Amino acid sequence: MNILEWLVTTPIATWVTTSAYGYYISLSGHAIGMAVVAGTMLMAALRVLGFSRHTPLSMFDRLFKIAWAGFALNLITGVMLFAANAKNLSANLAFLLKLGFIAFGGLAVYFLWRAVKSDDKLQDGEQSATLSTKLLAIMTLGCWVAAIVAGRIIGYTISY
Amino acid sequence: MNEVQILALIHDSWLGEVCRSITWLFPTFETLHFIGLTTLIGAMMIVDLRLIGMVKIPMKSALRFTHVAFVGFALNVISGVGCFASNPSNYYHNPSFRLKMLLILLAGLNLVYFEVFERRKVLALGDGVATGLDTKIVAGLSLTLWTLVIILGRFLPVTALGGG
Repeated sequence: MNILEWLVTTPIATWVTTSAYGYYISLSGHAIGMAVVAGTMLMAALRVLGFSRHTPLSMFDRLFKIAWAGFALNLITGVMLFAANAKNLSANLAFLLKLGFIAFGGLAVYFLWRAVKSDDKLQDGEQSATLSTKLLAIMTLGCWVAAIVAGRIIGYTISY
Repeated sequence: MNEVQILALIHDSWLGEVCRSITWLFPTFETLHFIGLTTLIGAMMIVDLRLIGMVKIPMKSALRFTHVAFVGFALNVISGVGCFASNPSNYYHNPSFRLKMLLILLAGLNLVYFEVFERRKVLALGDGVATGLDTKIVAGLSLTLWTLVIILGRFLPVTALGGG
């Protein structure tokens, strides 16, 4: 039995597949985590692109911590959801793309914030970000929206 | 006109017909709905966490994000109407859907309360001055209600007529 087949037999996977609400509780947690993580990423991108220019960038210190908590929630619920249907999901293109977009989205926001932190003129809101920083913001936005879209497509293309 | 007739009218409307016949429209509306909710939550996190005091930025800057939240909300009203029109009876008779609409209404009333009783007051606070308990309750209620709305949305298939 390979690891994917084994995952489906674990107690947590069994709970998700056989209990009345396990799947939907996991999905709900996953939606909340998504809103927190992707929501924060969208707001960070919007701020860099010029919305509410005078909002101190320091607010994202705490917001990113909260986003990490949302990410942890999604990692946990994601593993639960994956375990319940491991074989089919690992062959699902939308699922694989979603993981890719999340990885790239994480990289994008990492490089975005590195650029933002080193840009003194951006900090005080008096000047807008450079073009390359704005492009990083757009890429961040794109990756996280794409992750959301891919997630939805899993629902339409997966078998159970 | 009774409710059966109204639901039939919505079902047979142009929007309902289009959403059923163009198969990718409904999934598109659902996807836009998720993007809208993500925008709404992201923006309300900034507003509500500032009102609670967990995020330290000028109040005026934080409140600007209510406009972003509104864009997310508007996107969800539009996409939600699209989904509803494709199968009105199903949603209308779904307890999760009814509760979800009720909570959205409550969130709206909470917002009205904020606009009438809180906004001017909090904008007058100096930097670093803590908000009152009533403000914190309004903000906490906002985040709680929207989280419950998300959960109810995910439970729609569970309580739909005839099961999921």
